[in-house]
Amino acid sequence: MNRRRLSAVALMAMLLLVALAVVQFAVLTMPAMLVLAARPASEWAGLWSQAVSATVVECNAIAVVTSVLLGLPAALAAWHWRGLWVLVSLLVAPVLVPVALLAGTELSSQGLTVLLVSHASLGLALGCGCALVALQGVEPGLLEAAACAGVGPLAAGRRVVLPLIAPGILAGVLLSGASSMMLSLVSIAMGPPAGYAALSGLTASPILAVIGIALLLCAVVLAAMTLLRR
Amino acid sequence: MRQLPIEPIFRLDGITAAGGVTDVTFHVAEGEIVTLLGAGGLDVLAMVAGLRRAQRGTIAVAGRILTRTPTYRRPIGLVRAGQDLFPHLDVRAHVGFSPGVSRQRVREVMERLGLMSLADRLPAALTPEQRLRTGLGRALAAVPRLLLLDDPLALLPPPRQAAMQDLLRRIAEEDGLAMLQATEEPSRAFGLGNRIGVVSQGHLMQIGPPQEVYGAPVSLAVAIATGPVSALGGLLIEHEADIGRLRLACGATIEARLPRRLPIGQPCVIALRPELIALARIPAAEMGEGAVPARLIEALFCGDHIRLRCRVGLDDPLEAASEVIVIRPSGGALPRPGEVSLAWQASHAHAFAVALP
Repeated sequence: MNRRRLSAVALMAMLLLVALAVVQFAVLTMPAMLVLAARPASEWAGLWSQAVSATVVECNAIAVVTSVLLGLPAALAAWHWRGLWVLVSLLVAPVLVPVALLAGTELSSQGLTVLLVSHASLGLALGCGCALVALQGVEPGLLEAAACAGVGPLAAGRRVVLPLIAPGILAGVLLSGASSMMLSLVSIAMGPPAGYAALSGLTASPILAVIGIALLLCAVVLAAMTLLRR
Repeated sequence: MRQLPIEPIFRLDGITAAGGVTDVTFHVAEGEIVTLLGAGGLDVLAMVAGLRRAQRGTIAVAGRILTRTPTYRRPIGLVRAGQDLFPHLDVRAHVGFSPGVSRQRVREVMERLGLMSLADRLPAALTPEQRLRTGLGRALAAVPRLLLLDDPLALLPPPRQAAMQDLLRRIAEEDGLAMLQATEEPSRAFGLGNRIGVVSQGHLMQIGPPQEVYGAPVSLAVAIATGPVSALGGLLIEHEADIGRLRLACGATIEARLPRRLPIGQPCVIALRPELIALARIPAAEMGEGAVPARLIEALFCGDHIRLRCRVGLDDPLEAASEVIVIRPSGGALPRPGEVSLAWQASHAHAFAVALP
């Protein structure tokens, strides 16, 4: 397939993605906000105390740690070996999953493992995504210069690449922490007694199907972009 | 100039890379500066540095075969025009970047390159020349056996280029450091190289002293790559040793050097250096044997020289005339258009075979 056709495919996929984003906002995010708005004021005081519970702090910590320990190496690997772009695109995909859906998954499962995995995947996605964006600003010529100065790949990564992408890593940590906290707050706020029933309806199959298609399209777009970069 | 030792410190033997260079062989002696002129020179530099893999051939520095050695283990330094400095490191950190470089060495190199007053500055606060000196300091601090110069003077104005060329020559002589430069600009090549190698279409076409490569090119590609050329079309009618007699399209007969033996009747391109063509406002017959009649069409003042556009062949009904550029030192009034005669020494004209369409 030639580059012009690939560009057209990528453009169409992106347009479809935008259309699906509008659909998901209408059928998922908006009803979720209505559910929250419908909660009586007396219930909100209890929600804040839950927000600083040990479980929420654990989830936050796991998101932040994952963003650095797994997200950063994944981004570095994708930067070094361009062939891993498609795989990393899938890792980054959870960023596009609406928070309401993740919150619904947490509520449906009620298990600590699922809870931690969902927060870790969010941290991984955000950490990897931010590091990847920061890495785009690093000139490959700098690594060549480091190698010609007698500095090996690992030392060059530590002395040249990491300092240059430090703002991106920090952004990934902050975003992971903030998103994890937001996810926890949304799942708590949507929880029983008022929101759970409504949320069960929201996460029913048609909506999951829509989100699934959106994620698939996202992967297609990113894969097309990867091919175009060559 | 210092007598160069015969034993080369760097040797390239039959290096070939896909889509790049083919079967390139040459060497660089201690203290010698070799410049590769042409687009393929950068490919050669990348292979010597280990940034690009060679499919065939060997690269040896100081007697060690380095063809499969990773870049960071090669005893080389690379200097670019200053775009490869690390944005987060100051000048002192750059000079001391290589492993094992002592503070004493950093100080020595910085003093030598005039970087002491800039020690705490980041690259963003440096001029192009300061950036170049910083990159040079980073490379020199590690005491390389071969210094690779990736057109390092490209971003400098001509007067500063000359100053940096003097500095690089001094370093090569004092340290006995071998240097290999790649550039596509003839003035930067001739200003620095002890020897010039012309790389065209992936082949090392010719390598030798600058005067030889410029004055006796082995092909039209070499002639064009090494400087301005005026080209005339002609037919070889006879030859004796390496001097041929050619008939121009306008009917005039001239003599030119034949770098290669050619058959009689061979269509040729005669390459002339514009500054080696004599121009006079007298008839061709009075100017001497080999002079050709021409018409001066335009004279252009270019600062340090005057560029004269002439057309060889007068009143040619078939318009089989050819355009020739003549360069003269500036000074005095610009010559007015009109009939002139052109002449040149046979050894300054080079005839190369052209394929028939």
